[in-house]
Amino acid sequence: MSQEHGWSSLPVDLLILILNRLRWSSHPSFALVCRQWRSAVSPFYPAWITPLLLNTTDAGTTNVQYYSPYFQINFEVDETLEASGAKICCANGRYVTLCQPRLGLVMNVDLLTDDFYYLPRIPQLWFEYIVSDGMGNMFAVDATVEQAIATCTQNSDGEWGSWDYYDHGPELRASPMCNPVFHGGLLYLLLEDGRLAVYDKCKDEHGFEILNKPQSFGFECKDRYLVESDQHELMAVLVGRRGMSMNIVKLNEQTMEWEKMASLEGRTLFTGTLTTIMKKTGIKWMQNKIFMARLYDWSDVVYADRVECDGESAFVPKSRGFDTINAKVGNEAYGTNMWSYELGQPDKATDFWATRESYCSIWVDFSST
Amino acid sequence: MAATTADGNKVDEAVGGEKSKMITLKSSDSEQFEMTREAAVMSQTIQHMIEDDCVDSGVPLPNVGSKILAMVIEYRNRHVDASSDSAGEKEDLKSFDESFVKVDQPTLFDIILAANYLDIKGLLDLSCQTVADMIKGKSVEEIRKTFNIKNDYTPDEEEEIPRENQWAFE
Repeated sequence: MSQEHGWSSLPVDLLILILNRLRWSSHPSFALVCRQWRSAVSPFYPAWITPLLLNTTDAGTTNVQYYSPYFQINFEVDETLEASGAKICCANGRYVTLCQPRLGLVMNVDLLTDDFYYLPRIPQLWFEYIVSDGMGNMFAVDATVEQAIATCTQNSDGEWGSWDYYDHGPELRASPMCNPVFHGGLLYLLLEDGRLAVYDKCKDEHGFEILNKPQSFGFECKDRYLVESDQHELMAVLVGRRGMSMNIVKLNEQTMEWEKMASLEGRTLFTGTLTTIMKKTGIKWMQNKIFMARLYDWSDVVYADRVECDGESAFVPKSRGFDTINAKVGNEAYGTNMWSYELGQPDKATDFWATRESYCSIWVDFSST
Repeated sequence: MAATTADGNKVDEAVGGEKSKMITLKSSDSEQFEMTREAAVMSQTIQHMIEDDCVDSGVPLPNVGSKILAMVIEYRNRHVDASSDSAGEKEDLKSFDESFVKVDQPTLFDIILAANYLDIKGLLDLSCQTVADMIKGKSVEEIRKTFNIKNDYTPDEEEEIPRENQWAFE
């Protein structure tokens, strides 16, 4: 009986068996216990720390990549979205909604389980926006030429019922590349000039109604993104030409005017895609920052497997030789791959010129909060 | 304690020469244990030895002491007997497993090593899961204390290593 050595001399292959039963968030502590235990721990990158930018060249045929703004690594996994030529319409946390217009197909995908939920065929060939409220309701909106709205609900078994479809009033000049946002149970559509149009599902026959106020942003901007903050405030990200200016405005719901925000109050914005996410993060260097879905180098990828353990997802690099020490862990260092802006630091703004957007990308979030 | 248990007698009644054939196991401190061939081959290691035909005078297990070998044999006999799929049986087996691993740590440590050496998957899974459950939710210091592990890092290393997984400490 060998008690001379004790737990710190347990063979590595047995330590690995034990480690595989522990969730990812326990692995760092395991590594710190002693040297032998540390040798059982392999590099991994948690997928839940911040939202990730899901990106792919073609939703059906190319592998999905996830860019982490925290690790500044673009992880490529052996999965495709299996929907060739599909458009990514919106994301709600770990769920992504895709649409194949020529086939009239809309599907809701759970990225963590690879479950696909198909909706019935959409009532018209093309909708400008298809968004989910994250609670089993899907809205398809067409605001061009004339308004058309279709809604669909998911039952407790995960099956989607048939679409309810309404033709409505006149065209709305919606802000392109920015999804309508759910706020206070209503669907808000941002119009080009800073006005808002609102749709109440309970009053179907009215369609979108343009609010009298706000009338405008009060700022010139080239791109606009609407978002509901983590504290249920309606906000908009206003991007100037080539990223040389950035303003965040919040809707003051008493006066119904857009008000400029001087700071994000410690929160972080992930924007530049149809879905924008705003989150509170404990990571100091990310606070008050805005991350745009534009990278300097899209081809710099790390091939990894996404491994789920006890409800936590992490990327495990395929190549054993991957150098973790030199992997860029984000900070103010020069050479950050994703374009970012710190609110309140206008003199540090750099323009977009060397960055590009992806063909197909959207912000997703694998954290459970 | 070296004799076959009551369970061994029960199995003797089974039909079929192979199954009821008795195998002798010899622990590191030279104690002998008899068990049925059927139970013995739950260990892949022993199964290979039997197939390689070197067990006529008993299977030597230099890495396993008698105390642990007795426990392992008890585990195997219990699991071999439980061939029915009834819910009651499963519950009983579950309680057996739960109390089986309620042992002091040195014993648990030896059980893991023995299960690994003898290649008994069920026991290995059970004991590793037990250790994992003891680790869950504990801080580094608490883990060291639980398992009586000495911190062999230098102060510099203790500062440097968390940086590899900085997110866990932010």
